[in-house]
Amino acid sequence: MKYLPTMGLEIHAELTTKSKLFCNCKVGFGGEPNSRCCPGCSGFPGMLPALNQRAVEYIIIAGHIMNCSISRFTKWERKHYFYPDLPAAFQTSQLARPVCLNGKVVIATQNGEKTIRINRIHLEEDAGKLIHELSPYYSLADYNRCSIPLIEIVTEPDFHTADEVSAFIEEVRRMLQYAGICDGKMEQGSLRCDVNISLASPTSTKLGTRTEIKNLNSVRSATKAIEAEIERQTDILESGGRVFQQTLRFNEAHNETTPMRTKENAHDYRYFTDPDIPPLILSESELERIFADIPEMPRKRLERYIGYGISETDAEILLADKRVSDFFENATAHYDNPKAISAFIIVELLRRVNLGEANIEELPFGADQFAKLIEMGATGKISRSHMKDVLREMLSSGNTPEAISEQMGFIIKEDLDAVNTILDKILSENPDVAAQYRNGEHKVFGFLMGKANKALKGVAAPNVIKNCLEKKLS
Amino acid sequence: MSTILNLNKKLIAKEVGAVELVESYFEKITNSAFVTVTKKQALNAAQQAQKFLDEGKATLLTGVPAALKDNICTNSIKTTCSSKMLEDFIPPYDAAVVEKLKAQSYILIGKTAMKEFGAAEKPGESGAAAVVSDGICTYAISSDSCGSMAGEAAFHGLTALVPSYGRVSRYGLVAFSSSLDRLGVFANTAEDCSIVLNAISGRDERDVNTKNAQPVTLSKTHSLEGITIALPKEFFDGMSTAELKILSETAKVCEKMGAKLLEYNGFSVSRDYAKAACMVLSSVEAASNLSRYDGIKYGFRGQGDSYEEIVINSRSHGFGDYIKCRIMLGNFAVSSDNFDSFYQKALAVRQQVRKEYAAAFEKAQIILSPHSLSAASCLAGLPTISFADKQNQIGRTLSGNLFDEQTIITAASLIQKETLI
Repeated sequence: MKYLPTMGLEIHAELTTKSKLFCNCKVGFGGEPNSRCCPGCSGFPGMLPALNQRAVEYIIIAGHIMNCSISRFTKWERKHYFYPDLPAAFQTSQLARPVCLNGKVVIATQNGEKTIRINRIHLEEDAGKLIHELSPYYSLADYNRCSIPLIEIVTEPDFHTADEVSAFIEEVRRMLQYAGICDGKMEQGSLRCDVNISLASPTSTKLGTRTEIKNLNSVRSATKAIEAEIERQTDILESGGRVFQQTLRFNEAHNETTPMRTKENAHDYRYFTDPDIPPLILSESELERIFADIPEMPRKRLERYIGYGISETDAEILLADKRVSDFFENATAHYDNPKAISAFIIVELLRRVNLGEANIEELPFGADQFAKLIEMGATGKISRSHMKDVLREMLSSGNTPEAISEQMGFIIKEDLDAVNTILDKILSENPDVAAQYRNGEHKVFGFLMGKANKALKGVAAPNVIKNCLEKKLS
Repeated sequence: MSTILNLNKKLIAKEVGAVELVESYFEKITNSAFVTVTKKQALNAAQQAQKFLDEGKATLLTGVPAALKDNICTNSIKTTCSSKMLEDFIPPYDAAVVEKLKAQSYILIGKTAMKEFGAAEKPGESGAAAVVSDGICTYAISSDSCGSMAGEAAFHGLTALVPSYGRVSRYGLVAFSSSLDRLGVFANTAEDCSIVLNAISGRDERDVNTKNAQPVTLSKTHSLEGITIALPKEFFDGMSTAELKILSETAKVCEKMGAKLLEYNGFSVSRDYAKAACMVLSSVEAASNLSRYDGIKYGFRGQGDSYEEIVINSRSHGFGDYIKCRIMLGNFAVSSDNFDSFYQKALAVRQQVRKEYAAAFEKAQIILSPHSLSAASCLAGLPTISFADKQNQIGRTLSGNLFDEQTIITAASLIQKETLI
């Protein structure tokens, strides 16, 4: 490799608090423009900010799950610039004393685990949106997004490949979702990221000049943008040119990065401490209370699932969607057989979901009923092949697995007399095979079992048949 | 001179009806101290006030005519800050003080003229002080950032109370310099100031810097026994003979009423740097607070074919020259090149001034100073009451410890009763 790319990330994640950072307006996505804004978040004269304490709790959670140290003293600054989506002409953000500092997040890469260092996480407000599409002559401003609480996660320049970057975004997204503080919907802009990227010789101790690609709103486009930018910078360096420090945007259609504006060092945000928001002093006991309520993180769940004997691949499938993982958790709480539950979720339930026959968010039955179905299969109440039919029926009718199995005649009746009668018949019809077994040729057992299963289908579960047959042969 | 108390007595005794009273006040309006006169609303409010009076539900402020400085937001009534930028701005909300006064069925006569956005009023520039001085209103709610209210009190021979930062909610006060802006009262007596203060103070969740405080009560005693009044040497140095005379007389009156006088050294930073620090801090915060006036959302909009052009023209033509100077000064002082040498230094001065006051309040409850030195108490957010007689335009300012309005108002009231009335 001639050049080693080095990358750092800034991830902006909107917090799923009920109300905005400084006023009581609802946090939401879509809807009528300017239906979720008030004089406060629209920058009217005389309005004052009142900090949403829940948002502070959320960023503390974010910091804790990313192993940051949480500042006991934190404050907010005003960052000034004129833009029509920023009604007060300053964004309230954190510069000098962010809530979280010095964290780390472990990601899984093709070459094993890697630790990415977090420089800081701070709490700030989002800006509004501009609508340019309605007319070539004017633009409209929508303030619904103004002042939605946003955390900015800033990493150290610890990435060298696009895969590492995408693994990190996925991991952070998953962690925030599991913590219940961000919905992680990149397509709705709840999670966006900026990548800064520089190239240098692998032996060089100094980093090259970096560029920053702004507003990447999917993992795919982040990957593509990085690849395109590495290619662009490589071409420049190879032809003896110089990379300029700039802010770029990624044009997905042309698969290229284009300059947004030159990174003017001249631009001065005139930061100063917001006089309307008193600094926050966080007590040990408050932090302890917040930490105590943080849900289990996906990597912890992964370890637990593997401990259940579930394969890592299967565990990752369960964990990929928090709702699936939560469903699994609920089902195992009702029937303690994680392997069987996991297998049936992956093989059957997710197949139905992927086929569009089921929606994991709106299943017509609870995890308890699903657990019941697995239990019936595992204890031989119904056959494995019938489990699938019962599940389909549960999805369409919402009935209980017992009722459905009963109705469809799937219940295996455990009539031992009947089993013994039929087994006696099979053994008397095959006296030589029985003798072979009794003489120590145990491989013939399968032959007898096959006959018995066939004859006893729907009468008894295979393990019952097996027990009876063994007894008779011993 | 009609005070709140006098008018209240007359209204309760039915010597005058609320509507009749309000009408008589409107007849007095002759000058241009008002930006907006709210006659229709006032007459409606007077009818409501009369109802409360008749039902025995009246408070001391019910039916009493008042004015509001035009940077205090009033629902459905123009709030212009005497700026072209907001000349047609009608807020859809009331400031917290307005809500509180409305609850007492006060009468708003009008919104008073001011230096654009409240930047550095020189004595005589405040319409709020003028209308009280002229007897057009019994009291006015005004605002103060760097000590202008004390100057106005001296100029007009009025009483000005600037309560502790955080005692009165700033919700709905159009921000000039957030850390210095305070709502205050112009009235004829310290006693009237205390009545208004009790009506408008208190914790407001919308202004997180506010706190609840005990209401001020004025006892019937005529004693300042147990009170120590500090006379800072640094403040008295360089005073004119006339100023020195008034302040010495005031000190003597206090002593006669039982106060202990304490000559005090320890205000050198406050004397030398407070005014400059106030200028820097208020300009920095004003530049930030006034950035929102871009012509896009409300207010004056300049011509232009692009966002940048509209913003530039709106701000160039919507703001007056002086406010533009302050914006430039503020942006200069907080720019990355000058942050340490201006803004940071001003903050350090503020810190030092607070320490000087804290040390003085270890030994005294009141600090007596000439009105011209109020910038220091503004930096520290301390409550001050200033008053003067009509003839000589020399004000005395009593500063108290944070949230100890009780002591300074009591003292001012006693001094006024002893000397002025």
